[in-house]
Amino acid sequence: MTWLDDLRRALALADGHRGRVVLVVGDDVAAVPALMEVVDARNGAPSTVEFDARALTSAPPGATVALTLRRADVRWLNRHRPIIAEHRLTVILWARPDAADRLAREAPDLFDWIATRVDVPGGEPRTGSEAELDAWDAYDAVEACLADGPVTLARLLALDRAARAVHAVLQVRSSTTLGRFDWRVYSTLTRALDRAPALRAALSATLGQPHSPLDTTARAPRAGRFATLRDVLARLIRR
Amino acid sequence: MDATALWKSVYTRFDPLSPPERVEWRVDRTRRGLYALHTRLNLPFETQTKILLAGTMGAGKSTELIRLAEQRQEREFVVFFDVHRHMTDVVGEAAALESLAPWEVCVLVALATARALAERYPQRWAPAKLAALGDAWLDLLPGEQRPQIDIGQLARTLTVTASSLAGAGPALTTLAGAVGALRWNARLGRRGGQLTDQDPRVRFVVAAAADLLRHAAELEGRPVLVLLDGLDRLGGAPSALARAEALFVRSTLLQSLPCRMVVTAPFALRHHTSFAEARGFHPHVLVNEPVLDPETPEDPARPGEGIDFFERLFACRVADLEAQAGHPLIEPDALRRLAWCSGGRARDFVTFVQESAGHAYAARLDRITAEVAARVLDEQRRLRETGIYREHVEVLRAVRSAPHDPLPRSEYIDELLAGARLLPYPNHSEWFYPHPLLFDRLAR
Repeated sequence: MTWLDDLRRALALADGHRGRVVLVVGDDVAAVPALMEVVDARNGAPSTVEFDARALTSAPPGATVALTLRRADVRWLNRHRPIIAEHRLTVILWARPDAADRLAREAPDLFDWIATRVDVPGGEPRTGSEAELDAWDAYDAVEACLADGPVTLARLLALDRAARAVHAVLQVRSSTTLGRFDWRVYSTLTRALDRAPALRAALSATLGQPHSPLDTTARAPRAGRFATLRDVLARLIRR
Repeated sequence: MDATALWKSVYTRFDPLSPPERVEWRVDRTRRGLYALHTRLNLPFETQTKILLAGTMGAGKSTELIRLAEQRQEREFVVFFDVHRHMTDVVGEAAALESLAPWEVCVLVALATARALAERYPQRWAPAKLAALGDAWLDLLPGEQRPQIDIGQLARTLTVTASSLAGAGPALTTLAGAVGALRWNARLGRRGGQLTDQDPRVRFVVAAAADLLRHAAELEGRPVLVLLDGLDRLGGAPSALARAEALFVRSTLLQSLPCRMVVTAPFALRHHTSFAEARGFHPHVLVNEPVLDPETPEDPARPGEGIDFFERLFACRVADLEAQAGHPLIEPDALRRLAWCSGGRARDFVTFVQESAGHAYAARLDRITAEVAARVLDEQRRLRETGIYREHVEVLRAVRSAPHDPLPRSEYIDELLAGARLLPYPNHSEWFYPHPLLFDRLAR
């Protein structure tokens, strides 16, 4: 039985009428798209991928939320865990092992709510400061979803938010590092939109209109060349 | 009933995130849970009894408090209010719970009572009492918030479970809080440490709260019993201990309110001398069911008396489902194994059963077998071992080697207790032992 079978089994009877938390622990970010496939395959309930725990407050009742656990969110999650029960959310927390350990130690109340733990084999541990780890984990997760899973506007916007978090970390580094990262974002979006011509056409139509969903992506201070999704998409669509 | 419906029913009836929905799904604890509180509350010469209820996380405090509310409502006008839930859902500042001042808790008690009173006696209750509380509170709010307060609307945002409307019979009614009606931002938990019990403005607001409680008792013609849940969640140790002391030991405001009251407190307080020193409060402890025998704690063949509680709990929740299915839904040995491995924690047992239902459903079984139980327990073992470091293991091994001795002096004790890696048991003198799911890890 694989970890995906374990995850499917853990979600099999969750029906949107009760809160539920499942912890998925692993270093292999390539496993995240498969995790999202399981989430997307759930019938009826809306599903989202998030990398900011505060997004739980606006998740629709009964939703399934795949959340990349940021180490910085651990205490917030512990304090605000009643949201999960109140909104009847099924939350799949994807965490690297060190983040899972921190959850157990610093969020004992939330940890006590976790129904089960699913371990993902493989992968390499990442090193760095807490802020770097959080930013990169989130970016990697969304990028992996876009690379292998369905391409949706929600995921493009999630990538944009994650990319801006990485930008904030990289600003202390050289402009070469920033440029390399921008190119990575650009490449990811290129490949994603190549796989989703209908979305590309829809975005092309919405660009330039007032109140476009892309207006949610404000330009970050001292951002790099492709720091906003609007900029990147405009370039891609003009290609 | 088909297999999907059957296992879904089991799954939903064993929900670790909520107390049981139906009265008949609750059973008496081995040591009768909060039964001793009835004796205390029934004393005719103690009309304003205050009880401080300390218990470990997941031991079933909320469930027992709701049971107590149901059992007491014919004797008293019962008001049940969850402060933690209010701070999280309505105020939107869960962190503010950790800096609530005693007088602010008094205000919340009065608001919860006013909320219940307004529903029960829409024509007879005196809103002027609530307005007086609002005026007194106004003096204590930071200046910029003063023009914004409407205490009547604030009271309506509280979710309160209380004795039913007049004539509706002996049942509790939950009054849902009005959502989005008002902003509570920054009104609570901001001036906690700045004002003492002796401050005239504090005394004034507490007097107004007391007046409202007296009004409730007069209208009812019987005492008011306030059950205050959520004050056991005052953050991690050791700060929780300091906050609990500020609320219950260094202040006597809550104790002065003219009502009966049961208040939950952090378990960290249990092992501090101040627990016994909380003037005006009778301490009471609710911990795990005694599923381990103190003489043979690691021998599942010789369990403690608490196993029976979990057998009754399972039986009462699935009796109708088993009648429909025509067979037991769990093998007896599997049930006892789950109960023993829960360490007597109600939440763990409920989680184990819920997970077992998922496994039985996935494997298309008609009952939870010993193999299913073993698989679930193995998953739960990995979950429980998360975040365990070598230092934790050393402390747990020290406790394991001398479970009846006082706990070793270690900075990790509170963390292990808070995370349910180390469990207290009430059989004989209180004793401690590592969670059964960690036995393998400690033996390695």
